[in-house]
Amino acid sequence: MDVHLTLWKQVLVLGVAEAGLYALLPIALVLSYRVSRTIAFVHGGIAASSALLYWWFVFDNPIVPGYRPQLPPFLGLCVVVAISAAMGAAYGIGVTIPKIAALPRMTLTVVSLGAMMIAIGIFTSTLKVVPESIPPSPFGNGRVTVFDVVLTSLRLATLTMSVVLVIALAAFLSMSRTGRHLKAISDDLEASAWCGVKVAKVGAGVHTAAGAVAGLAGALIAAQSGPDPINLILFLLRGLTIAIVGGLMSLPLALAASLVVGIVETALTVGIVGPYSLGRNEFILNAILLVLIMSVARLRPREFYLLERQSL
Amino acid sequence: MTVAVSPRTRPIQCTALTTGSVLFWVAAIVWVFFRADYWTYVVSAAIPLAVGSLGLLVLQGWAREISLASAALFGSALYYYGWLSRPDNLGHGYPWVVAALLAIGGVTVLMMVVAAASVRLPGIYLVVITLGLQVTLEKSVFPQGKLSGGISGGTELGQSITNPRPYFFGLDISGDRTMYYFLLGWLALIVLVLVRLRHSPAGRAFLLVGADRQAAAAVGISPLRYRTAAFATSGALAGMAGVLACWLYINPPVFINYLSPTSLLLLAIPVLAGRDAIGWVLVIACFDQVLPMALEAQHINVFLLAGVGLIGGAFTGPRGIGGRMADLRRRFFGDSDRAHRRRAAALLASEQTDVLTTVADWLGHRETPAGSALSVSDVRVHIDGLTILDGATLDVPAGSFVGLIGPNGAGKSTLLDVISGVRPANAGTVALFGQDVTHTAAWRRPRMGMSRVFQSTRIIEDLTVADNLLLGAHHRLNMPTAAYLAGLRPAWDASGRAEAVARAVATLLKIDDRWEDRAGELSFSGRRRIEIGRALLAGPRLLLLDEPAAGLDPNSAKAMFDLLRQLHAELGLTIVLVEHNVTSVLETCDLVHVLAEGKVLASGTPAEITANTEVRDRYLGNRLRYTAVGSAG
Amino acid sequence: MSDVVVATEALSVGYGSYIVLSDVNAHVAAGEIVTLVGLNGAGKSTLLKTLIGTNPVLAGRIILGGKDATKWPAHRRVAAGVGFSPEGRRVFVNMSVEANLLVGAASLPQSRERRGLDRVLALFPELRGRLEQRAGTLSGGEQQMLAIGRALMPGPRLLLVEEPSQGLAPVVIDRVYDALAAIAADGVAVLIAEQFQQVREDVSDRVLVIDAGRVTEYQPAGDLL
Repeated sequence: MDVHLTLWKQVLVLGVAEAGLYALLPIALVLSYRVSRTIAFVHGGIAASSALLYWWFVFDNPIVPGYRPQLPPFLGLCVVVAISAAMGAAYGIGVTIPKIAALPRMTLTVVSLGAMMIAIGIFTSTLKVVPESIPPSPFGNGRVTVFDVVLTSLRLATLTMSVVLVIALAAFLSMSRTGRHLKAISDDLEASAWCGVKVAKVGAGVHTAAGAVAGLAGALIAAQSGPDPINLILFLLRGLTIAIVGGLMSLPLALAASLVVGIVETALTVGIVGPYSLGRNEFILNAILLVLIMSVARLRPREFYLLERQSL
Repeated sequence: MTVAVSPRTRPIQCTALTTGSVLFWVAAIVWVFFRADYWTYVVSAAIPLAVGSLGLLVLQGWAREISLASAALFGSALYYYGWLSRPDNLGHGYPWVVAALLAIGGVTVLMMVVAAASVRLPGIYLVVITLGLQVTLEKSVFPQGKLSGGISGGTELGQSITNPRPYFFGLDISGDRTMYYFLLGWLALIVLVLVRLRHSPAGRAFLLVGADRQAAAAVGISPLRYRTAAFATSGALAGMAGVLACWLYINPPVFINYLSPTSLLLLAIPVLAGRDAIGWVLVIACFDQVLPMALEAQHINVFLLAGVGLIGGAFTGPRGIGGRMADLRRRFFGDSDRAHRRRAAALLASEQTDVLTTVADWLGHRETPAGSALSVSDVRVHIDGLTILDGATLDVPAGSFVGLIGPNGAGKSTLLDVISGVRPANAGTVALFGQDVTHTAAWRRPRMGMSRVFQSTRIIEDLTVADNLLLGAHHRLNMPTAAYLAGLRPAWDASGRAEAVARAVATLLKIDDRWEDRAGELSFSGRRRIEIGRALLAGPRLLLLDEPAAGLDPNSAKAMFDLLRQLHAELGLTIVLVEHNVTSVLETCDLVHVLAEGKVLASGTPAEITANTEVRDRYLGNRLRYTAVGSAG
Repeated sequence: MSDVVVATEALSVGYGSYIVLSDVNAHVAAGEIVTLVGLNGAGKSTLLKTLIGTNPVLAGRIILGGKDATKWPAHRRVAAGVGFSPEGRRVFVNMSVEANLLVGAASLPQSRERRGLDRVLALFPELRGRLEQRAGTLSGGEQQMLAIGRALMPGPRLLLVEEPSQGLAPVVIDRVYDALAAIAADGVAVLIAEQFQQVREDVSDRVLVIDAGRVTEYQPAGDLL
């Protein structure tokens, strides 16, 4: 009985901590969707580039040859987030050019996909990165004990940042004037322009913020499991499903979904439902996410009004 | 009666024997003699990729559904076929036909399950479901050593896996060149069947179900059936691609090639090639394999190549490379094309008997209509707690010309939705020519004599006027799709007869001069007439029109009402129209129903309606003037 | 002599290289109601969208309050005093009536955002009790009033209205046109684009007709249809 409780406590705490990492990319996707109504695959590229860059800036093992700046990890994190913000800004300015903004949605999605590939291509070809090696954590190697469970400082910091970001951004979006304008843009972009909203500026600004968050995600993922671009793309796709739980519009729902994913995945990995089986675990996780999406769509249809009218 | 030669009657003759097509296939056969064997292998690898991409063309290009699972399905079919057919203790050793059917069948069933799971859900769920399928397959099928070789390239027992080349009636296909021709032959066969599919009623049905399910139901096409069929076709093609790849590769390729990023990239191929461009899908698949190899010496990063290709391709325009090429061809060869078309049109016109007789014969009924064409009784509809229809009752006598007017929000469109079956009523009944259709599915109602024309034009802009019109005849063409795919004459001739009637309808509606033009190029009133033509080809006795004159200038609107009166008088059609243009309705209809706040406020002749004070106060206002019907005749 | 608020000089409008209207020389003065009539696809919508700035000018100039506004982006024209009520209303369906109106004041600094609210609610008292209601649940007529009210929030000098009668019952159309007359009486220049059947000659000061790519002023002796 006692052992069972301890196990569940570990699963919960570890799962919640894990969720912190899962919550970041959905934030970027939700922000971009609100302003452009397309799925911004480019953030997969920004996150992957950020992961590669973070590794390059910060990896300090002399056994691996080649020049690297070897910055202190936290500084490296800040630099990489700044670069990602710039990438987001570039993308945001690009897609708000009237000629490009007028393209059909599927084409814009393909463009976003292409931008993701180009970003990854640029950095995989210019930086000599060893994808399996893990760069040092920007928050040191400390350990913290929470509810009798030991967490790394990296995990805890990631979780804290995710929660703070969601709360701050959600508050900003619902209470500020820019947030109201952003809501109008989501609702009807053309009509917002006719009301005098500076759509291009808002669009570029939101994409910059989204890029920064994606960059943060990429660096933190690299610090946990290495800078492999394929891994980052998989994180993006997992993040996409999580963001869809919130209808690609709601940050708090995306955070809630990440918590569910984190906890369920930890529970499955630990073997609570039976012996470990990758395929079955993946199936269960996706089934749970699908059920979540359908429940939210039924209970909070407001969040889904855009997604239901067009998908890609 | 001779059947005109057109893509809709002799598809192989018309599309596969064009200059571009012939050049492509000749080049595909001949080039092997000019290059080293290594390139033969590379281009051979493009063939399974092309077949898989064709599957996505059917699913995404035609039926407009998304699948993010294509790479995993391809890979799974490849690995399973290999395992099922490998001899000795590396597999089951089944004969290749059995193994192939099992592998392809398995993948097809998976896609049909996805179709069933997502049928009532909005498009975004398909993204989630197929993504889930992709990652689940990745994690469950791919790591198994006995199937894919796992990470180490061998089974769990450490044996390396080699795929056998199949025994094919004594042919030795182990050489690179013979393997290439072998695969090319299969590709040609698949393309042949797909071209026939595209121009058969089933292929057109895929396109309409993808564009607008309600419009499909309105001409008697079952959205459920054809959507599932599109998914199944796509799955079968992915399966075939896997089998072809397994024949090609001596060792099964590592599964990294079939992860989700590949699915994402495959998604882009139909977008880049264009919706109707089988040829360009083949070309892009070929480029996809050849270019990275060709540029390998330059050490160009694969990601960079993919990104540039995607963005470059995306900028060829919303209709892809195929669409752009068609536009260019129109610009350079437009004049000769048009002359050719005019000659073909003249030929056909000379064979036409009286247009009206042809259409009337198709519609079938000549007896004087009697009884009630449509009877709506106490229909109630609630949506989200709001009552849209609150006991609406009306009757449409057979052979009459009836108008339905009322303020916005009164429920007119909802009532039409209930009548045509798009929306079920919470209470009440609907009867069509005496038969209760309250619980009949929307797509079955056209067979019972009802056709609907929507307010927003729901035609397929990318297709020709001919294709759009012919969609209406779908439920009148009863030959099985297999007959079409096999190229059986009776099936294609039946299409030809329908095409002749469609030609007559086009002449009646004055759009026959645009017969082979893209529907999107017609003016607004032209597009409206295409929709009416499509509804006519379904052979209705009752025609429902939702604001047919909306958005038309006064002359076109008058022409529209004249046309409707002509159809009513000369073809014996019962016509019900919903209109906002109150004056026109009062001037042309025999009977008018006024709908307000979910109920029929008043019913009667136009004179009775205008005299009705309640109608006046709540709806008409007092400024309205009109000239009485009877003078409009 | 009344104040010309907007004037076009040899204006050509269209899409890409496809010219819809050419050599348009029109003007609207303060307090005037001018109705622009034309067939569907003839160019009413294109002209209005070019005036508001979301369609580029192909040739010619647009003069706004004496200044050349031809190259100004939409938000600058709104800030200079142009309001637009588009075809189909295009209200923000998932936002409240109040939020819709506040977005209309996007061109004003934050401190002055609510100033226009009283004026608009005085003009459209039907909206007063519905400030918290989601705009998507309003009736067609209420949405039209909201769209016009939203355009009026920053106190524009020129109001462009596209097909205000679309989909509305005749009694409601009367109400909307009464409101437009009151707006013009306040000194706003009003340009209305309408379908032939809906033209209100009793409310308009002048009527401009689009025919074969040209805009001409309607002479009452001729037949409008």
